[in-house]
Amino acid sequence: MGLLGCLVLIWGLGSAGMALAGYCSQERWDHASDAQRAFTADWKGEKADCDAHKALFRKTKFTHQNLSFRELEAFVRHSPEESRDIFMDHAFRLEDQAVALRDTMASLETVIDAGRAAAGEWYVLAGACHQRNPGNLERGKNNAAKVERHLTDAREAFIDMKLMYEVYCRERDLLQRWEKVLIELKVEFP
Amino acid sequence: MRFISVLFCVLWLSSTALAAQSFPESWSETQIRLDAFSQDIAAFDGECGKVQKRFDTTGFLFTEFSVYEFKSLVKYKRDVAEASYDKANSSLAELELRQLEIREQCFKLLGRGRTLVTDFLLLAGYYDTENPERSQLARQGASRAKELLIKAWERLIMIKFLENVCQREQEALDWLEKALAGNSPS
Repeated sequence: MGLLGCLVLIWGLGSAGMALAGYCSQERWDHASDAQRAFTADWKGEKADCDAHKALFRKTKFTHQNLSFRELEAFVRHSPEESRDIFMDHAFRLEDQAVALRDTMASLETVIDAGRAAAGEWYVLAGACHQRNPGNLERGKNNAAKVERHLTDAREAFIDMKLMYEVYCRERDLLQRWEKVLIELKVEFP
Repeated sequence: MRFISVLFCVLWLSSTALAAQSFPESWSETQIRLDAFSQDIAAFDGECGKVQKRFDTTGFLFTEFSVYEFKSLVKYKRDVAEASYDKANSSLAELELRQLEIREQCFKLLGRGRTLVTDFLLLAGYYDTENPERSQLARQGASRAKELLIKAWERLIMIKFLENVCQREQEALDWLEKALAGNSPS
């Protein structure tokens, strides 16, 4: 009886010790919760920026979407000075918007990486802790799923930003061709 | 004494059973799934490359003409406008179909990849204390699956871009159709 009692005790202490020594510890659990909270807060901030970019994009009139280069060139040759003024105002504004968008994309990528790491941490914890308590597996998976939901939204927002950036790039191509015609016509820039 | 030995056996068996619960995939099965996923991503990548090339070599109406030019095209070169409309219409139908095919494949691969990453991470945690070497291998498997998953995400960006191209071409076609019917913008 004494021997078996000892075995039960060893088993109990062993599993508790393994849990403390291994990946499944309260400290790790708290760390995963903190990572989740930080990611959620960062994503909310990024989402506001993404929405602002989307609103600005919808308001922006892109020349390449409304005029063919043939039509634009005819206008530039007909009214060089007027087209130069429009070009300069448009080019500077578009460049600022494109740069701001690029910055948001870069920080969104960082937030996505953090979210991926936070979800991953929950999955590893779920796998490590379920030996001690099967309920932990579900808890860990549920927390990871919460992170994944935001992560999916963040990835979709990133795709939208990327598609918007492509439009800015196409506009930039047109602006370069526009500038070339202005230079060819020897129009002076202030 | 018998009670304690029974209790010990029950506790040991139940802990083992509970540990095995919710891990339907065995270690080797997950490795096999990773290899298959890697091959499928490579095949998908090749398919996407072909579709992208098909788009790149297509002359789109919306890049050639603005909506305001369709009216004069119809007025001065009606036969060219009609031929352009027919050509653009059939090529758009083909491109849309191919775009939808790769889009469906992409979503399936994204789902598979996500499950694979999750399973490897769960295994990494599961083996953390009892087999650290295998846990490390599982983490490496998860990283590899993640890399492949990112490739699929990047392809989704391309697919969405192609979807936009199709939309814009459809709009141009609608305008050309209106011009042919005599209802274009002045």
